[in-house]
Amino acid sequence: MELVIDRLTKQYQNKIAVDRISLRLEKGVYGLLGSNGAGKTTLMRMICGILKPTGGTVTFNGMDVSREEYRAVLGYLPQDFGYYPDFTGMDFLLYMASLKGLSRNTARKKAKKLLEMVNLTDSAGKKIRTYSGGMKQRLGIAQALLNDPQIIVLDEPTAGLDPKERVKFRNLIAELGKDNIVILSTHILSDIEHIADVVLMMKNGQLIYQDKWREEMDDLEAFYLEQFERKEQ
Amino acid sequence: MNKRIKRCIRDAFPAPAPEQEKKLCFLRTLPQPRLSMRRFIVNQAAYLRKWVLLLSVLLLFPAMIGAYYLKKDMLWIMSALIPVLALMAVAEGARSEVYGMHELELATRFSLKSVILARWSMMGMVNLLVLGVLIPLCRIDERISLLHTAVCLLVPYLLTVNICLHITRRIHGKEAIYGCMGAAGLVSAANIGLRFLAANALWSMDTGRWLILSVILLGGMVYELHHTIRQSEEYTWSLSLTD
Repeated sequence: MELVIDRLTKQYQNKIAVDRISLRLEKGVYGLLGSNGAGKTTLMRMICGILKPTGGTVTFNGMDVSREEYRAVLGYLPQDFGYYPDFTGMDFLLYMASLKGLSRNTARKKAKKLLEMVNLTDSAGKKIRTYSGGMKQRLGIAQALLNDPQIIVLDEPTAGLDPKERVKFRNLIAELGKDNIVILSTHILSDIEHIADVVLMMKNGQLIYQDKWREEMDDLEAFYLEQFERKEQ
Repeated sequence: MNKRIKRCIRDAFPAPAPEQEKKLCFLRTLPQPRLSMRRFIVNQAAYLRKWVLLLSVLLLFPAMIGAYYLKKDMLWIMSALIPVLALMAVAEGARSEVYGMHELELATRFSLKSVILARWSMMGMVNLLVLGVLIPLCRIDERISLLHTAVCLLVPYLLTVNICLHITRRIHGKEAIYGCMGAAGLVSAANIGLRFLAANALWSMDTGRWLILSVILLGGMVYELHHTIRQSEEYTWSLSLTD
C-alpha cells in the first residue's frame, strides 16, 4: 500500500498554492500542520482528485488519482460540507453509499454500524438541519468510512467535537491508521501529538518538515513554532 | 457423517478466532459487487425531489383543461408556463452546488459528473414525456401543424434552459437559483407580452423561422451542458479557497 505524491504543484495566476510537494506515504497516520493559507486544504483536495494539479502526479499503488478505482478506495471529509435539507442522518449515509457504489443492502448494514460508532443511532431518523455542529461532523466522519477506504483524508475532523468525542475520534483515527493511510489536517496540535506517526508541516505551499513524531521530542507546539521561525530566518 | 461425530470433531478442534487485521485483508481481496452505471442512474431516481416531479407533471392539468375550454389561448398560456418546467430541470441538476454537497460528491466513486448526468437524464425524460403530451394537447387548430405547435413550446423551453445553465455555470450557490427564477420569469413575461402586443404572433410566425431558432437554441443547450459537465469534473478553485 503506497500513496506517491510526485512534485505536486497548484498554481493559480501568480499565486503558488502548493509548490512541488513530493511524498511517499505508507500505512499510518500523517498529521498535516500549517498556518491558514499554507496550502493544506489545496494539497488534500488534490490528493482526493477534486482539484486538478498544475503539475505533478498522485498515484495509489500505481493507480492515478483521476481513476474511478482510486476514488473507490478513498474516504474524504472536507472542512465544510453541506447536506440536502430533506435528508435525515440515515438518508445522508445511504445517499453517500450509493455514490460510493455500495449495494442497497450493504449500504444499510454499513450505515447502521457507522451511526452506532459515531453515536448517532438515536438521531438517525432526524433531519440533519436539526443536528448540532458536532453531530454533523460525526456524520461527516461516518460517511468518509462507508466504503472501507484505504486512503482516508480528513480536513479538520475534530473541529466542533466536545473533548470526550475528540478523544474517541483520536482513538478511532489511530486504529484506522494501522491498516490504512490516514492524512489529517488540524490546528489542534494535541491531536497530532497523540496519534500521528509522521508530522508534515507546510508553509507558503511548501513542505518545511516531514519526519516521524516521537514522544521524546517532547512539546509539539514548541517544535512547530521553532520550525516556522527557522524557515523565516 | 453423522451429526454426533461432526459435533465431536467441532468440539475437539475449535476454529481459531479471526484476527481482525487478517480478516480485513482477506475481505479486501474479495471482489465486491459493483454497481453498474445503469443501476446507479436508477438508484438516483429515488433521490430526485418528489415535488419537482409532481410539479412537472402538474403542468399537464392546465393544458388538459385548456384544451377543452380555452382553445385559441391555449398555446400562449402553455408557452408562458413551459419555462417553469425548464427551471425545475436545471435547478435539480444544480442541487449539489446549491446545498454545498459538491465537494463530497466529487470525491466519490460515481463522482459529481455522474450524479449530474443521472439527474439530467431523468429530468430530461420527464420533460420529454410532459412535452410529448403537451404538444398534441396544445394544437389549437387543424390548420396549425404539430411541428409548429412543438416549436412554439420548445423555443421558450430551450431559451430558459440555455439562460439557466449559463447562470449556474457563472454563479454558485443559492444565488444561481434566484437568477434562474428571474430568467424563467422573464421568458414567461416575454410570452405574455407577445400575446398582448401581437395576438396572433405565435401561430402566425413562419414555422421555418421557429424551427431555425429551435435548432440554434438546441445547439446552445448542448454547448452549455458540455461546459457544465466539464466544470463539474473539478472543484472551482480561487485564491480565497486556500485554507
